[in-house]
Amino acid sequence: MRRSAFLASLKRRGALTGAVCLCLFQSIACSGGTESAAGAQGYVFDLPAGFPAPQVPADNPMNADKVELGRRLFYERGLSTGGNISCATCHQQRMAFSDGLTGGVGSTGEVNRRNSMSLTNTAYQATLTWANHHLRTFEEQATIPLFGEFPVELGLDDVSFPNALAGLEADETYAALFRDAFPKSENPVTKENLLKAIGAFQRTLISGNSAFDRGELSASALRGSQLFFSERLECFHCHGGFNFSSSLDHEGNLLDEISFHNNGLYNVGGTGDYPASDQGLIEVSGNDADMGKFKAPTLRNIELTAPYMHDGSIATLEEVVDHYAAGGRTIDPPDPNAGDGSANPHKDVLISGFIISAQEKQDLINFLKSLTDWEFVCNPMLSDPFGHIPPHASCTP
Amino acid sequence: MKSLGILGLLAALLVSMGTISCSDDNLVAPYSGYAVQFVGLVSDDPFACGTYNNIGTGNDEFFVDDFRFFVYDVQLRRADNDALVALDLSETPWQHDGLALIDFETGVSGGCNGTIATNTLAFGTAPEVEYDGVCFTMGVPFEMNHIDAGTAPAPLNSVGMQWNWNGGYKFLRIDGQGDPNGSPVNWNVHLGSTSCTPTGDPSTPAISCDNPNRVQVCLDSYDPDQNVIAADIGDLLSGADVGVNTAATAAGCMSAPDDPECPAVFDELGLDHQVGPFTDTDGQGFFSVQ
Repeated sequence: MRRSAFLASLKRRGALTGAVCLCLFQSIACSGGTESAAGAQGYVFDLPAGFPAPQVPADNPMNADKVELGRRLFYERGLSTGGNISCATCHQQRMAFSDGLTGGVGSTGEVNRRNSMSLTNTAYQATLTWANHHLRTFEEQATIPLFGEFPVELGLDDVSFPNALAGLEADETYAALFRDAFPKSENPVTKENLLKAIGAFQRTLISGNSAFDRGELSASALRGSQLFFSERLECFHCHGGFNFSSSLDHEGNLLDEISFHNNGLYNVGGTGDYPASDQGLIEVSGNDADMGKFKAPTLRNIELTAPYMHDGSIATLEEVVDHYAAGGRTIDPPDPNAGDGSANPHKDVLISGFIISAQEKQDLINFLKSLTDWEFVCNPMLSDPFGHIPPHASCTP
Repeated sequence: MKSLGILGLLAALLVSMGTISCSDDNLVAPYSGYAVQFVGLVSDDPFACGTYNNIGTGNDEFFVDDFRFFVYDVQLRRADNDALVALDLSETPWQHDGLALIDFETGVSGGCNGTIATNTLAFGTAPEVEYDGVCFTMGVPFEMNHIDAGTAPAPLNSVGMQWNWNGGYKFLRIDGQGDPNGSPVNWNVHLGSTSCTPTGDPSTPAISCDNPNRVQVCLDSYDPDQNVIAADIGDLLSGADVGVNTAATAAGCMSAPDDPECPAVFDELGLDHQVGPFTDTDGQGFFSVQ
């Protein structure tokens, strides 16, 4: 019999003695002690008036060197399998840290099924990414774009990542920044510290200095704000609070606001389904009630983050307002996703549609545009230190 | 005798690592080093990254480029009284807290996934008696499965086994392609827990999963000094058609509860799958004693 013959030959060759090899294991994390300081001790966030401090994990206290290191790593193309993209490729400051594409493009050219989210104020989001209730911290979330394979984003793996780390260690600037950022680490250039540094930088992407925040609304935007906060339009239920999102967490917060909503974007075949390619939270939770549920992102800087929705399937703010006015989107045959989204049985009860005049619609959009924070979009502290990604044309050097 | 070679090597290693622990509890037998060895096969042939013939129901060519899995709760069955005895796994980069990563793939040359280093053993100490059976679980224990993957210790720091978008790890990873020379179809098996719900308290990793998908295995006629445990991809895929993948579902079976490619694979693992029907009532057919 072939099987036993194979085993016999193995035994003859002595292969079954299986030498135990403890060397050569990839990326053994040698963390040199923990940083014991609590939270943001000794670091002062530049907070807009009325903003709480973000949550900072106790094991990743903020410091200026760590933020600067994280900034460089965020823009570092060496952290991609092709050396061609960085975190910032899909999260560009000039578009409030989004990319203007329907779906982000990874290092190997693979197109993500989901729209690259704006990183505006993600420090205040209770959960990260579009529809995953497991992802609570930047440090954990970053492992997905770095190492995820379905789809490939940055595309690093058990072989290329240690090589990338070695490259950082050999670079004097990086080596010094890692040392300064993690003074208690004996060997500071580790995966853990890299994730922590990128997380620290992301916690500084705070935006709260828009015309709305300064109370400088035009007459039209003021009328739009009244519409936005009205029970007639109901926008503020999902996009509420200082961050205009129903997903909220911050320092001292006792009860995280973790919520996901189905907004009637699809109703494939009239059964309530979303397209099989992306069905939202149900894919992670397995709960039928989570069909088509996604996180309501912040509306801050929304003017700069088109296209909209989890799949980038709505191009303009005007069309977004039309979508909510209709209480959902109708897609006509022969489109394979045909169906009346407003009749989706999983749709959030507060999305019931409204009648809105052309003037009101303009007012509402002017209000949304009043949430653009040019100080944030043009802040040199958040910009590309390597000069690959240009600033917004409106930013004056 | 070959087994003395491995035992001697292990004993020396264990002593040098200072992990030999001779407890004075009810076990009268002194402890000794034992290694449970796994061997990766594809339809009885030794696994190597490359193309194999006659795989699955369509008798397809199948290109395989990754093959790894986690095991834990390894127990040996005493020949004298049928009691199951825990194999106390040593702490190494491949083994942590009773969990071992078995890794057959050899890495990145020629379109092959993974790492150069391999590991075929789960080794540690157990009372020095005769054994005639073995039990283990393929997977990552619940209490380890939902920790922060960014800071996890080896072997849980293997990013190739990370499955964070589903709140855990891949328990088994086989990557491949049906009909690689004709009309290639990416066909992978990624096993892991699905439909997991967090508690809402960020300070606890506690999560409950509707579909744990851990594979409990017990095998007879197994003597750690004489036998190995084969894991055969050909057997695992015997009921699957690796030349076909349902549109808009994961490439192959990545454990999604609604993926039509999964029941055939789950059957061979002795697991139920909600697309069903569950037909393989004689347990798993993936592992066997050789």
